[in-house]
Amino acid sequence: MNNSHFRRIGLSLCLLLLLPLTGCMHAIRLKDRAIVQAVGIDWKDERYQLTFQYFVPEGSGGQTAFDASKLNNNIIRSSGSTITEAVSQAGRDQGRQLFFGSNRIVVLGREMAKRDIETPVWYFNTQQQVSPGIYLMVAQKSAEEIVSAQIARGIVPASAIEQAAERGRSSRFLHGGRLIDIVMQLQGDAAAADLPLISLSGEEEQPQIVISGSALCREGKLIDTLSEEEVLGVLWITGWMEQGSMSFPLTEDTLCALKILGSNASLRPFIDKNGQLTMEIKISVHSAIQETVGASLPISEALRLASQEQEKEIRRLAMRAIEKTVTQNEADILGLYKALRKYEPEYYRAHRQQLPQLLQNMHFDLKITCNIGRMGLEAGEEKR
Amino acid sequence: MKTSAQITVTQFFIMLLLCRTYSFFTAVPGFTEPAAGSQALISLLLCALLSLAAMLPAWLVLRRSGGGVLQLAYSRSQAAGWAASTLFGLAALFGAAECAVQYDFFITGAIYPDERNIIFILLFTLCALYMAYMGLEAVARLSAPLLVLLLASLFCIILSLSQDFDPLGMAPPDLSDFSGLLRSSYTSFAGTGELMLILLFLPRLKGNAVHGFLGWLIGVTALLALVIATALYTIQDYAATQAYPFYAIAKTALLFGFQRMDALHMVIWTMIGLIKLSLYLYICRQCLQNLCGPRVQRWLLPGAGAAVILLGLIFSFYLQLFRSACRIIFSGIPLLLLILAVPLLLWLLPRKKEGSAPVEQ
Repeated sequence: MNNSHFRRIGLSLCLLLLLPLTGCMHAIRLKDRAIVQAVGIDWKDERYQLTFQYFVPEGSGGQTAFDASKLNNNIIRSSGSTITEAVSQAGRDQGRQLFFGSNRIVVLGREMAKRDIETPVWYFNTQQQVSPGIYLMVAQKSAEEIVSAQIARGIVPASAIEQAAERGRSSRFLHGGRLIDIVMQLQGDAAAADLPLISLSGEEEQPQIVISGSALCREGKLIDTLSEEEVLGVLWITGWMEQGSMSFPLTEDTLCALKILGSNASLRPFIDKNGQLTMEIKISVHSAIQETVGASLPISEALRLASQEQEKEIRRLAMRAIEKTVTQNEADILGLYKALRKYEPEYYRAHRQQLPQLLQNMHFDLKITCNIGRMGLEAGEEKR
Repeated sequence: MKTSAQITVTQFFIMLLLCRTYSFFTAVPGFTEPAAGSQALISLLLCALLSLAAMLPAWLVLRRSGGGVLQLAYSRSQAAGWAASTLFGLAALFGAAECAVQYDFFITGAIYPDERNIIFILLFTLCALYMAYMGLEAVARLSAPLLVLLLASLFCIILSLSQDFDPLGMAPPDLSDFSGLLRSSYTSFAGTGELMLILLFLPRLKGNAVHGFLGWLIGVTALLALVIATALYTIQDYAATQAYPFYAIAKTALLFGFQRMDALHMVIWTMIGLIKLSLYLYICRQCLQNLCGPRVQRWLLPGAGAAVILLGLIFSFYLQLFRSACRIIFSGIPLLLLILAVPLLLWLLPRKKEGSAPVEQ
């Protein structure tokens, strides 16, 4: 027998030896798993009340078929003194192991958010199954109401909530909202975060998801809410505003709708010789006129007025956001501390223990540049 | 002296680049104190300079003598050869066990938290054992396509994270605590076991090893700097909450229709980890060949594999023991002993007229 023969025998033995090792890893069948799509966390009676929406195929035939027109979900409720205890109890009650790999959203009830958002955030942040891109939201009332709502859109109701959040992100009326965004905010010096505020509307039989502003949190607790306009202001200052639209009057008789093609924002702190800290916020936006309603205006006049009014509107929204977040609540979700750390590191290090006081005494200098580059397909008055 | 197994300098230093990247990605959390933020970039540079400075004396000594450090030892005396083979063999054994344990901690920490360590250490080591058995050339040939895969996956990650780019993420480095920065750079240098591999593999390299070493140093520094900069500009403080920050980056990156690609990255890192472990096993066998007689030659590699599995299991079960061992490693004493003290001591010893050569495969 030559060497290659021994090698083949050795290799075959090694491969055979591997076969018994297939039982060393604990395998769970799909039917023994509850594939969680949404989790709601409320605080009631000094305990965590969890609501899980998990996927249950409602098919017309066959074990693997499911009907997308049906709701395809079940709801589990459980409670515990810790989130881990509540999750374990839910698994025991259902006789299935909960699987969070397909979980799309986590909703915190209002009372839960007022008490503590950090515990649920860190719980999901340390779960290896959970994607950092899941959405974290705060319910106007209870999380159970949102998670157990049977919204007939998508394969499961949680799809509707996720789609609302995705749409909000892409249409730019939602700031952040993902687990990774919130963790980054909480880890920063400000320890402040904003989470989308979610509620139900419509009839009880046909509920709809509405995202209406944001929940403003500081030091791990809900302290205030941001209206939709204030959220828009935050989006402008943080440079998130893209692909949105704006409507405002140009004159008493003319309304204009602009489509935002892109925007940039930058923050730059300056310290004058008296030690006064001023944050310069530069916002530049590139837009197109989408629609004009009412009396027609010459193109040059329309462009001038649209640019002017857009600048005023953005300034108004930005100042509202600054007033609400910084002045009233000392919650820096705009990135002011980060800008200070980047551009004035010595000043930042020297005042690191007094950052909230810096916010209160900070002046803001808004410089907004509006460029309207496209007129659309409609012929203007000068061309007719 | 003739060696039967030879690889090009490029192949070898590509393997070392992969090894260094693997160590960086799967560093066991809490065992070192890496620099945070943009200080990590300075720390990388300092680590590269330390590596260059530490290797210079060994290069000068080996350039004059020709060959590697084991050849130098045997040219002095049999006893010196045995001592060097024992030292480097033990270091390679520990390096191999550390590699297996790092992989095990990563897999059971980030991917399969409910599974037992034994299965991963056993399978990982057996696969690497087979790779070492196939020989150096086979492993070296795998490295180049693996590097391409790694760079492609990094490119995909950076591309998908580019939309989350935040220019405020990179703050100027805080140099006020320069001693802390030096400490973290030194710790990083102390964990660079690849420097020891260079001294051992020299006789097997075809080409200019100095150019290869400099290219490796620049390549590793640039690649890791790119990864750190990507983390700072995108996920920033989120990375600080994760035990394996780069795995967190890979989980976050969603590319086109592929969505989560962390499974793909895990496969690439597993292959890189196998290359690293097989290199250490190969060296372990070479050192054992010098110490043992001809009758046991065919059992050396399985024996080394068994020792790595045993050591790996002990370290994975007794974490305190592993921490103590790592504390010794990151003190820098073992590395400086191997790459600085041993070559210099050997250089000082008189050359033996009829020195015996180490056993070559």
